[in-house]
Amino acid sequence: MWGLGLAAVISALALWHIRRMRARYEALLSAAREINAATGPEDVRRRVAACLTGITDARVHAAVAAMLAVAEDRENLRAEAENARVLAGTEKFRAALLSSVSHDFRTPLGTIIGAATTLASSDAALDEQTRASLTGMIVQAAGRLNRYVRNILDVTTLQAGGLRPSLDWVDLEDVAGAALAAVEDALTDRVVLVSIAEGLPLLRLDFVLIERVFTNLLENAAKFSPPGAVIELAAEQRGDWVEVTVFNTGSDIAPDALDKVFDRFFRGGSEITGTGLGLAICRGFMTAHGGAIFAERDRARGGVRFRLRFPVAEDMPGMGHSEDE
Amino acid sequence: MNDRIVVVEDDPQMRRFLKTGLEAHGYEVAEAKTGREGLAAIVTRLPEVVLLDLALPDMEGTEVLAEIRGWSKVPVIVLSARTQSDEKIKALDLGANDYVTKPFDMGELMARVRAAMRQKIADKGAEPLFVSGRLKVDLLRRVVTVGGAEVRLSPREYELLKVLVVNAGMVMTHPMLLREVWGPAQAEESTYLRIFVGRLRHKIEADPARPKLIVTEPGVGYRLKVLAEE
Repeated sequence: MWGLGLAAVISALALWHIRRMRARYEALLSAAREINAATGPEDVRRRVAACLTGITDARVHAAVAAMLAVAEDRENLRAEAENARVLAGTEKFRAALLSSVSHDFRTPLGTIIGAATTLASSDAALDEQTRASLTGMIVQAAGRLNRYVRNILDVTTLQAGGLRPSLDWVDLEDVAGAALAAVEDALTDRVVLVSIAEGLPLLRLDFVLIERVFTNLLENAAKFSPPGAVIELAAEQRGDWVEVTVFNTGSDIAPDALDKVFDRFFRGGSEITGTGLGLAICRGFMTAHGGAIFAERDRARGGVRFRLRFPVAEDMPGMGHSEDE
Repeated sequence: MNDRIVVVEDDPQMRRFLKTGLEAHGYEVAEAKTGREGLAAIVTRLPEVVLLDLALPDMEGTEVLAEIRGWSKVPVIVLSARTQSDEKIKALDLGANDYVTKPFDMGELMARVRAAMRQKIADKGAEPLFVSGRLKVDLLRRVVTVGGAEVRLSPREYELLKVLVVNAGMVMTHPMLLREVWGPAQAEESTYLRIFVGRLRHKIEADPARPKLIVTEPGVGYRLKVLAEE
């Protein structure tokens, strides 16, 4: 009898003990989950303190404090490493920018100073034609310098993460027209063909930024192709995308450079002048619009093609009832 | 007597360049270094056109503009060093007639000045026949021709073209055009404008993808160019 009674008491105690253990285990698990969901070091401290309320055992408090210290050390180290990485990136960017400025600004600046001082010197006997040619050189070099400055401003805005596209409904034919007008001078001895499909949907874009993408691609096509080359600008809808292509004959890109051309400060060739920023800006602006840009070689036609993809908005407003056609 | 222009600009080099350039085109130029000086010069000189820099040492260019508009309708062309279209739009909203972005082409500035002068004359009585390149618009008979051939426009397309013609050579912002053509309630419906400008271009431009008449001012609006008759 005694044996049976004792066994019952023991098993009752054991069961109680197991339940208590399980309750503690559950509490520990939910506390761990709770702490794991923390959003930052401050939040971790707050959540840990909340879990420890009601626990009086000093050993638990000491152990938790030691764990927290280790975790914080690790977090600080990670943050420092990240800072150093960003800083190194910024330093590298600054150095590359500086080298680009000193390298690419000199040529047009040299032209301007040279031509202007020739015009200003009173002892040189200049005929009308020479004067016109010198002023023409100044105008051209100043225009180039102006484009460099604009590119550098664009790329620093992108680097600083300060790009906020101001979106509005845009007609791609309109963007193409503005871009073609802006680069008219660069396209003078190229055959330019434009084909914008009829009935393209309006797209929700930042007109100014996308016009910069178009002008950079067109300038690029003119820069890398010989006089007389064909430059084609086309746009058409392909399912959920509108695709724009800028193609030029008479140039090539090495297969392993097709992706690298979009890197900042990448240059297509040593004899080509430019900041190596134009295509990097294109990629930055396209990404900011949820679009994409690719380069490809067209060996059959002997040229290079850039493809832009713009997502078609689902909520393009209709023309409403107030219209008259 | 020559037409008078007041130049409000704090940068001495820029002022010198503007004075030389404008005088070479036959204008009489009065210079002002600050907003206060500029306002005084406008009162005393009664110019035909004002060139106003937006970044002045004593007050914001937009403040100067608001003050001018308190008592004068003189055409104001804003010189903006900022590439942000927001600044230009703010100035245009406050009553500026047009803008050029620094660095600008002297030819471009002269075209703006001429358009502003023409605008001032047009206020006294509109020219009924407008000609630009191959485009002719007869505002009295509501007839539009391109290269001598009549072009049929829908009533809305004609309204849009008419507003551009009346303000030929000057920039028209998107809200201005929407208000004038579709009414104040539609001032936000930029899709209408995009579509109608596109349609109009297909009817009056030789190559709608490379427009020469209705040109786009990126992020701001549209401008009907005044070209030599063809």
